[in-house]
Amino acid sequence: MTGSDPVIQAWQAWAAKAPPPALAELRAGADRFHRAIRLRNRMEYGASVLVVICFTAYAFLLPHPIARIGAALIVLGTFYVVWQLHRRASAVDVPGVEGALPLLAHQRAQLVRQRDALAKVWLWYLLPFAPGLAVMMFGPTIARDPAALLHMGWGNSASILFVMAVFAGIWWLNHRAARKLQKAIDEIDALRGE
Amino acid sequence: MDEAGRGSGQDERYGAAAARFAAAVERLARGYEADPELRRDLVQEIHTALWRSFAYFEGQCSERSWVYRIAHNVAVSHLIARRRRKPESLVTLEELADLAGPGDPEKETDARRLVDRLLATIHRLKPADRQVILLYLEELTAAEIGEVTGLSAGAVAVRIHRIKALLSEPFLSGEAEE
Repeated sequence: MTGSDPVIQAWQAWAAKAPPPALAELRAGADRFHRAIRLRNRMEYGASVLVVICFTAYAFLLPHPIARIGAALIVLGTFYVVWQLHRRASAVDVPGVEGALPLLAHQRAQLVRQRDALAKVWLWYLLPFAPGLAVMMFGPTIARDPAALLHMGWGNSASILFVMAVFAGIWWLNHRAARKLQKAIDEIDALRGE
Repeated sequence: MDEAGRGSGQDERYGAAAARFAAAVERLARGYEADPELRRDLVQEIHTALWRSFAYFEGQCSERSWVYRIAHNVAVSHLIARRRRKPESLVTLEELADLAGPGDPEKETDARRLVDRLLATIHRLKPADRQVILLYLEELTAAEIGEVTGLSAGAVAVRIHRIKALLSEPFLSGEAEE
């Protein structure tokens, strides 16, 4: 490579005196990014606080002791989900990674991290609520008369179907998002010639 | 880590690197984005990423490699997002027969025509090849290009050989004849 190469000279002559942007502009841009992340996190944690408050109240106020145990299990499940959200899906700066990884590897690593979090949403986001919900919904009936489960009214059946539909919907939406991320990962692999 | 808690001297280190590489960043952005408005955004995005990255720079590699890695990471993300919105066909250096033809010879100087043809060619390249040619034009060594891109020495050598062939006789003699 040589500086006397006319092509390189012509290339480098362009934008030879471009001034960098002001630091204040960069700080404003970075602050916007952090504000958006903080807002999203606050919403996630805020919803969790509401769930914890409601189900803690249920744990004390529900008439049936087994239902109270179910509510307490949901509170525990919520704490677990919040911890997993922070561990798996938070937007964190990884010191050095941007510069230490080769090109595209950083982008791919971020996509893989998000894909894995979404693909396993049943494990860390849905499953932790299942024991508490099951105990709350079925526990009191089983304690009274297990055979009564087979003769539940329309109201109870509809509630169970609704909860199952919500779980299935959450799983399906996340599974679809994970597939989209996989497509983006495949695009990167194709661009890298892998 | 919050902004306030990051490494001391971040602003100074970024400032020194930005002053040294601002023109290269502009050229790099030009290699990834033809639209002037979007290019301005891309340059800003690269500088923001650079500024943030200097909180973590502790000599993991040369400053030059660090800056180009960050800049290309941001630029390739930009390219991928744009291709998702507007798919376009990209080629490898091997598939490229020659450089793009001149735009409007009447209005252009030789140097300007040279750069425009080069840019038109670069915009057709897949990112891995685009990175190599942009780094070659910034006069990084083959070893440095490998360090920045993560490509093996052999893969870099093959690409540089192809780039030199593209940029040599036919191109230059074509410019001279016009």
